[in-house]
Amino acid sequence: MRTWRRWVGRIRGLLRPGAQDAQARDEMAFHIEMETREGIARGLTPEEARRVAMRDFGGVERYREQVREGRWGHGIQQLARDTRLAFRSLGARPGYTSVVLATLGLGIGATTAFFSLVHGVLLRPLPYPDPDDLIRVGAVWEGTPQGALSPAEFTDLESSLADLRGMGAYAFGSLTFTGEGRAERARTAFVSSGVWQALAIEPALGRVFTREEDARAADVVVLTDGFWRARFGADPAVVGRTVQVSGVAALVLGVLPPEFRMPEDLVSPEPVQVVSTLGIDPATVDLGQRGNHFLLGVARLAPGMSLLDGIGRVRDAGLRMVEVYPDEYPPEMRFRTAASPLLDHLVGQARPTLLLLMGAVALAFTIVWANVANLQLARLASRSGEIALRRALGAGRWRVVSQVLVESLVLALGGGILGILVATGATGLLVGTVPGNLPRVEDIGVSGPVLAFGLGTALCSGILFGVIPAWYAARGPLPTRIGSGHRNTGDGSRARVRQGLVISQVAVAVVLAASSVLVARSLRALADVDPGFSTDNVVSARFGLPSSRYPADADVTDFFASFVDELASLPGVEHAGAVTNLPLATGLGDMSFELEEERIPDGRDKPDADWQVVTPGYFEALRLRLVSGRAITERDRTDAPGVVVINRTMAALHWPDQDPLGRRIRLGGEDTEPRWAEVVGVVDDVRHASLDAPSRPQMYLAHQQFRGWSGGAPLRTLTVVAHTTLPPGELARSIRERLSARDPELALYGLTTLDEARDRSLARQRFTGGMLTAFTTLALILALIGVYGVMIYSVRQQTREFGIRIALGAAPGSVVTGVLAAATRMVLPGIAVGVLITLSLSSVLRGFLYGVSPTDPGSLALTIAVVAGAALLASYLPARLASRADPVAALRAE
Amino acid sequence: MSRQRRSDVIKGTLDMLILRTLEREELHGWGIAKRIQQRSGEVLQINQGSLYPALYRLADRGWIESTVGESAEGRTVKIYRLTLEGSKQLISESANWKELSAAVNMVMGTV
Repeated sequence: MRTWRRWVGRIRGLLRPGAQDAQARDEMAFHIEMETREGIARGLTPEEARRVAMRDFGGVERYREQVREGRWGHGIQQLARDTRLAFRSLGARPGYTSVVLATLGLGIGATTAFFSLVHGVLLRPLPYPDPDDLIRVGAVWEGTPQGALSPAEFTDLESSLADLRGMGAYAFGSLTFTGEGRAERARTAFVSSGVWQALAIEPALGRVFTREEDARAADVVVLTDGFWRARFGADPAVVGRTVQVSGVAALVLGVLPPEFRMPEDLVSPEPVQVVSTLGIDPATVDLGQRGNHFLLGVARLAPGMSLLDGIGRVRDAGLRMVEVYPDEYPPEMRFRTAASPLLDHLVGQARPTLLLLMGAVALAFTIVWANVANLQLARLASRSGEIALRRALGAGRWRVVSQVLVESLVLALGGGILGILVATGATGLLVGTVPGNLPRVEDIGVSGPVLAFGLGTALCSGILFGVIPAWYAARGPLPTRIGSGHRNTGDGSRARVRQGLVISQVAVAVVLAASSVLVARSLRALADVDPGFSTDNVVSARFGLPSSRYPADADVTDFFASFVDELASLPGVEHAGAVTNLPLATGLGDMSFELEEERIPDGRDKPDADWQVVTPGYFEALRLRLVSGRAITERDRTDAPGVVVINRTMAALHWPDQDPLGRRIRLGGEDTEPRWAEVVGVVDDVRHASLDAPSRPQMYLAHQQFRGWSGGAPLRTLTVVAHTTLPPGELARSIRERLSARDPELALYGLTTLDEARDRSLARQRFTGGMLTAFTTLALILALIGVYGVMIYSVRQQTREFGIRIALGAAPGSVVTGVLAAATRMVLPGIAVGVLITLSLSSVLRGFLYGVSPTDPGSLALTIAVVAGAALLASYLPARLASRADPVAALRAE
Repeated sequence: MSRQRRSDVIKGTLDMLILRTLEREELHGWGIAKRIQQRSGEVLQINQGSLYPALYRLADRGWIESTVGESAEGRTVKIYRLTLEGSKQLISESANWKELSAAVNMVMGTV
């Protein structure tokens, strides 16, 4: 009760500071009046009595001030007063204030916008309940980073990790929906029932499949919300109905909520549309068959289980597997099972690029910061008279410091608010420019954590750039010459601090400029890479032939052969062909083989090479360069002798200085019957995986012949390519029409031109380069402003000196040279420090560069020339100003 | 006016003296100053002005409170009185003071 009343009193005092003050004044007046009366009663004259009373009391003003200071909330009022003062004094200098606000707004805006990207991609939690409990479970062995699990390994893991809250495995593929409407290929996740538990997903309609249904072969499907709306018009009655899916009648079990995503959907541009069963029955899995790694494992830690604990359990399960199946996992394979946080696993590959750029942003921001600190120092010099006056009038040291700091904070917060506005606009722009292969960019925005980051940056920088001027204000000399514009004794050290700030700005600008020059060179080197094939005017599209409609091997090979012929006969098409995997789009598998002249004993490692299956016309359509021999042609039919075309790397590796044509290799594993193939041609290397990866040995096999070698069916899914003289869009349309005319139930996808594919493969490097260039430009401009500011200030300070020198006969040119020399004394150390920092960062930069060394002298020289040239340009204007100093005016001013 | 030797109030004891004075009666500011002077046999001369920051401080802590009253001359003045928390504070401060002064006496007595 009393406490409550006390607080009411405090708040009232805070809101009406005058009332209490007036009370205190009345009380004191009464006190003195009473004392005076007593004095008169003792026989003093009224004047004497009052004088004694005042003396004994000891200074009404002083004690009133003490009453004020002792009051609760005094600090807040002081702060309010300082803030009002700051607003007034900043408002009185609109030029200065707007330059600082604009600099800060840009700097904080760019930093915050980029942070929103980093937060959205790397830091934002996954969209599942308790996402930190999710782990990726995979297998690792010699030469293979954490990868997929085999069905047998998954089955073992599922039973040994039973005390986790859920363990599941899944793989991606596609199902083709036919029947109602046009044939449509739907990206499908084939999942075990444990995935539902691990990801904690509840359907919006119907149900998901249960453990008992795990073994069913894709004849039950669960639709995603998007696919349900697009194909079935959001009809709830579709649940429980049977639809035609890839040639079988499949039951629609349920519909997932709109926010459902498979973990990989957050990373891949092509989201899952349908979920179906994995078709693995734990009861019937052959546990002795440990190979065939294609399953992605996901698990959820049990409540209270630590990540380390979970990782340990997964590792122990792997150790048991190695014990039970020593033949399958020989020691040299170094097989183990491993787990890592799911989020890390998904976004880890984007991390280096984003962190590099975040580092660049942070560097650019230090330049912003140094500029503002510099401006503050210059301002402090011009108001040292005012500060001296206030100290003389009794303002304590702390009062002056707090006022300077409060002003910095007001500026910083203003800059922060501007910055967040800038960031809100810039984030949209930024998300528009990021490459599609950057995960999770779709719903990035200025969220709570991003806001906190922006304001936090503003506040921290406000304190930081306020501290230097505050320190000078505190230590500033007591006024000897209030109001005089002459240099104070503190000027020398302040000038040194300002020069130091400029030196570090130049150094940072050099680091940024060098990085962006290097990345730009690397990008050009990449764009100039000869991929070994032509991307001009080539259109590609992919489709597969379901075994339900094309059961016989010949159906498949004939369909592709005749369809490719049909494309080639289209007007404007010069060549057409088909291939398993287009370069720069997907990776390739490898296959081991033996040379006829060098048989490898069983159990020893055989050589291997990446393989492609092609139809006749593929080499011509992509204009692969034939080095010798011939391409795959119509002659290479199923019943003809096996042939292979190899690339230059493979030829050089196995037949150095010999003619590989006519040599024979034996393909196929131990289980299948080996087939002989004769080398009939050598083609130039193709950059398949990416433009910056060196070519591996590679062989091209004929689509017609390939089924025999694998002992199974021919490949049912191929990418057709056609080289055209027509606009690519027209050709794409006629490919779709032709396919639909042959079989309306086939779904065509991945329609693209190779130029686009090549562009996409460079998207990330281009993004890095573009961002770095933007930050560098910003940094350079700000650093130049810094140099300009310091030079113009020092020239103004020395106007009299220059005037006298000119009066004494110095040529204006020598004054210009003198100022430029002074600028050089600042810029050169900055450049030297910057170059040293760049060199020390070379190991970081190396990972982002192709075809250019991080210590490339040419790039460094260019950087130095740009920064030095720009800095001299920024000092030239002040130098001109100095050379025009008027000697008469300078002397008169004295 | 004959000037006697007067002692400044020992640092930190002013609060205690105010509380003790208000324990016996409700008083306005000047009255408190007079009372302290009288009770100490005119030995303790508090720095009169410093009384007021102390009063506001004690009020802020909730140890004393003020009402509007009348002085003997019929003037409207602020009258201070002790609160319950103030009495508790006074008890603990008195105990501390007794302990301290006894200790000082012991030291001084042995010289």
